[in-house]
Amino acid sequence: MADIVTRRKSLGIVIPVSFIAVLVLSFGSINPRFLSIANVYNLIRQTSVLMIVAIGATFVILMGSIDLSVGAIITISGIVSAIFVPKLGTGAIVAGVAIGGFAGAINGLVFVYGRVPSFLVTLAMGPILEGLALIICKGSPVVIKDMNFLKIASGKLMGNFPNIGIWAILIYCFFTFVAFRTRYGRYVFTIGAGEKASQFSGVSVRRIKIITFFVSGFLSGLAGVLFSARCQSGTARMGEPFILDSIAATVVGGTALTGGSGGPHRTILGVIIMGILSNGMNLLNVHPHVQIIIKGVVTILAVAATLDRSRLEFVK
Amino acid sequence: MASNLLNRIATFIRRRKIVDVLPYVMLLVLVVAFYLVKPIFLSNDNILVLLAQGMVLLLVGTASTFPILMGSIDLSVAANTTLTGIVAALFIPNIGVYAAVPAILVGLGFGFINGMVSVKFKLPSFIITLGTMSIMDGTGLLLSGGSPIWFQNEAFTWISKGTIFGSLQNIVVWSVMAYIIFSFLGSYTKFGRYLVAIGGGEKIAKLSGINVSKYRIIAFTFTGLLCGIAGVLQISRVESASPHFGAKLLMDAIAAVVIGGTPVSGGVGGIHRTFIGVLVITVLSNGLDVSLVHPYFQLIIKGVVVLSAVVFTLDRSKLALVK
Repeated sequence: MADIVTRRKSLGIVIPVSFIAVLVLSFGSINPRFLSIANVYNLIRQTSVLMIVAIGATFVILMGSIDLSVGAIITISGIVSAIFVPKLGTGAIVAGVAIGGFAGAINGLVFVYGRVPSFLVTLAMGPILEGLALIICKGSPVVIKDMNFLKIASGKLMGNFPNIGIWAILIYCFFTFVAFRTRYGRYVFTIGAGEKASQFSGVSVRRIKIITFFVSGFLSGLAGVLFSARCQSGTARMGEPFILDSIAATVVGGTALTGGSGGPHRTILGVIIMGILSNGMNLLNVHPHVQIIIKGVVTILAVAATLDRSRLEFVK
Repeated sequence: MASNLLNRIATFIRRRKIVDVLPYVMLLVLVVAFYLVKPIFLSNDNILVLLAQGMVLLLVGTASTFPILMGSIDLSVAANTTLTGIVAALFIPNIGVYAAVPAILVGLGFGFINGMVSVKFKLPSFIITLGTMSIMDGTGLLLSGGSPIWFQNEAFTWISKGTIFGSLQNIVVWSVMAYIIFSFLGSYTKFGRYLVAIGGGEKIAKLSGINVSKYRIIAFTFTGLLCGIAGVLQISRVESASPHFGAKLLMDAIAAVVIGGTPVSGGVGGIHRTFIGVLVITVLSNGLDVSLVHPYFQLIIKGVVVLSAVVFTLDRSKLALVK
C-alpha cells in the first residue's frame, strides 16, 4: 500500500514537502529560535555537506546500486586535504577531491569487473580507506589554520550566505542538469529501471556504472574537503554518520532504493528533512545518541515506504 | 575479460575439493609465517589467548552464516553483540550472573525484529540491518553513556573464565557447544536444509512448499540469539563492556563465513564450515598483533581479505544482475 501511494507522481512531491512543513511548524512552535535567520544560516551550514554527498549517493541509488564507502571517503579526503593545506593552501581542495574520485573509481572498477554486489565492495572499501586515513594522519586530528582555506566553507561571498551553501547549490544545479539533460544522466535512469533492456539498447552499462561510482567518490571527496574546512580539521571517522544520512536523504527525497525513479532534484527535499530533524532535535536538546537511533528508524521506514517491490523478484 | 577470468577462478575455487582444502592451506601458511616471524606465536600462552579470542568470533561467525546461507546478510551482528554486552553489564550490579538472561533476550529480540521487518516489509536484508545497526549502536551508546562499563562480579566472570573441563576456559566450552548444536541444526534438520534450499533458489523453495517467511524469521532470530550469547561471553571475559567493541567484528565475521566455504551468494556451504574460517581469521588477527603490525594496517588488511574472499568465491551465475 504505502509504496503505491508514495510512488504516484503527484503525491511523491507532496509528502516530503508537507513533512517539511509539519517539522518546521512543530519545531518552530516549540522553540521560536528555530525560525530565526541565524538558525536558517546554521541549518544551511549543517546540511550543505550532506547535500553534496547525497547527490552522489542519489546517482548510485538511481542505478539500483549503493555506496557504503562515502563515510570513509569523506574521512580520507578531509584528512588528505588538511595535510596538504600548509603546502598548497587553497589548492589542497584538488588533493582531497582527487583522492575521493580515485577511491570512487576503484569502487566502480571492482564492482563492474569483479562482478561483486556494490554493497559488499563498498562495505569492504570502508575499513581499507579508514585504515589508510588513520595511517596518513597517524591517528590524531589534523588542524587547519590557513584562513584562505577555511574561507572556502565559512567565508561569505554573498551577503550573509555561507560559502558552503553556495557550493551545495552549485553542485545541486549542475548535477540535476546532468541527470536530466545529458545522455549520461538519462542512461543512469535507464540502467536503474532495467539493466538488461538498456544493455540491449546499446547503453555501455559498464562505463556508466564506473563513471557513477567515480561521481559518488568525487562528490564525497569534495564533501570531505568542505567538511574539514568547516570543522577546521580533518579527523578520523569524521565521515561515518554520512553513510546512513546520505541513503536516508536520498530515499526520503523520493529516489527508491530499487533504482530508476526519482532523481537528484528531489534529494534536496530529503536533505532538508534530515537537516531540520537533526537541527530541531539539537535545539530540543535530544541526546546525540538518541538521534542516531531515530535516524536508523527513519531510514528503514523511508526505504519501506518507497521500495518498488514489483521489481524485486525476491528480496534477499 | 577480467570478470570472466574471476568468474572462472571463483567457479574453480567453489569446487568441493578446493573449497574443502583451501582454508586449511591458508591456516597452515599463516601459522608457519607467523611462527617464523615471532616464535612466541606458538607458545602455550599465546595459543590459549588465541583460543579465547576466537570464541566470540566463532559465535558471531556462526550467527552470520544463517542469513548468508539464505543469500541474505546481517550487517548488525557486531552492533548486536556490543549492545547485548552493555545490557548485561548494566544488569550485573542488580542481578549478578542472571544478567546474561536479559542480554540474550535483547539479542534474540533484535534478531527477531530483523527477520520480521525483512518478511513483512519485504526489504533487502542489508538495508534493514544497516538501519538496525544504527539503532543498536545508538542504544548501546545511550545506555553506556559512550564509555566502557567496568564491573566486578566473580559469578559473572566465571561464565567465561571459570574452568569446568581441566584448564580449558568456559568461554571455549560454551562457544564450541553452541557451534556444535547449530552445526547439527544446519546439517541434519529440516530447518538447515530449508535454509540451503532458500539460498539455492528462493522461488523453487517457495514452489516446493517451504514457508520461506517462517524460516527467514527463524534464521534471523537465531542470528540474534547467538550474538546475544557472544555479547555476554565477551564482557564476561574482559570484565567490561565497551560501546566500541564491535568495530572490527563485522568484517571478521563475514570473512570467516566466506573463507570457511559459504559464499555470499548463498545456497552452498554450511554452518559447520565456519569453524575453520574463524580459525583462519583469528590466527590472522592474533598473528598480526603478535608481529606488532600497527592496528591501522590491520584495518586495511582485513578490508582486503574480505573483498578478495568475496570476489574469489561468489557464484555469479546466481546473480542475474549485479547491483
